[in-house]
Amino acid sequence: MDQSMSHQNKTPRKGQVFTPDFMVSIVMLLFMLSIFFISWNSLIAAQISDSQDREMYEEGQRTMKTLVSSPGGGGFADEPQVLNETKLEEFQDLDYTRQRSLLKAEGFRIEVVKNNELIHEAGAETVEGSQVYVFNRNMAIEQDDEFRRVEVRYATWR
Amino acid sequence: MEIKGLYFSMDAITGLLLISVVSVLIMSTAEISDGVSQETVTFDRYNSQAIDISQLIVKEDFQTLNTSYREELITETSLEHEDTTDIAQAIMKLYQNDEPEAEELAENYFQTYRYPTGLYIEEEQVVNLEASDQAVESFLVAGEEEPKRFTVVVGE
Repeated sequence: MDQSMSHQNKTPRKGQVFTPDFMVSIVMLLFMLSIFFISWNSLIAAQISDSQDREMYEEGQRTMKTLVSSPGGGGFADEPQVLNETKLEEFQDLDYTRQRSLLKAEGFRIEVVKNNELIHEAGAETVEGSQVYVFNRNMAIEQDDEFRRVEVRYATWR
Repeated sequence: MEIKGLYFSMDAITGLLLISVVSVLIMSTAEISDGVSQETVTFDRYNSQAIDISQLIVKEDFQTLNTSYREELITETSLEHEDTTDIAQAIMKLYQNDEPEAEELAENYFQTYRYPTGLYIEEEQVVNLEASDQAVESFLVAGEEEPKRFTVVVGE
């Protein structure tokens, strides 16, 4: 009887034992991992935003180049840097959705300024967006067989 | 006597330090921005103006400046009416005759643009431009004998 009780006391207990040191190390590791992932996620979010900005900027550059130098495909130029006002007026007659589709822009506004006076405008009434890029180019319009300087301003945003 | 409290071995501290160093390294190497820098935007503006000038200087005449300025140049220099069909031709004629008004005319014309601009004809400086960042555009202008290469530099 005594022998059997003594044998029972020596049998090791089954189950997992968590020491305080082990628990503390788990908590610290989890804390570090969570800090790392939070920082990582904010970094990735910033990268995506930067990448979208660059894409929009490059698209804006391409659009502006087409507008001032190409006679077709959305361009307003008869020859490089010579504005065809008829083409611009035809573009102004289109509805905003169609204009945006042609320029591949989420939002845009075009202004043509001659001697600080606005002579043509197209697109949205006001410039609005979380990120806006404005491109300015110099062009000429032909009036009375002479070239007159105008400034073309193209703003695009998202 | 047993001292109460938490014990950190050197191994644990070294392990934590290693994890921290690796994390910082990963984060710092991942910070490669793909955005649009102010330098890019500024340089693109210079570049656009250089392209615009290369196209417009051979199209625009003295209407851009002042018609009385044209008459003044015709009176005081070798320039004649037929040389003033465009600004590039007028600069070319004055330059070929070694007249200082070539620089003056080019400077006056470039002042109608937003950013400071310089000009070289066949590598020879006509209008100086002191700028750290410059965009350059070259084009040919027909002359009396043979075409000359104009190089426009824009920057600040």
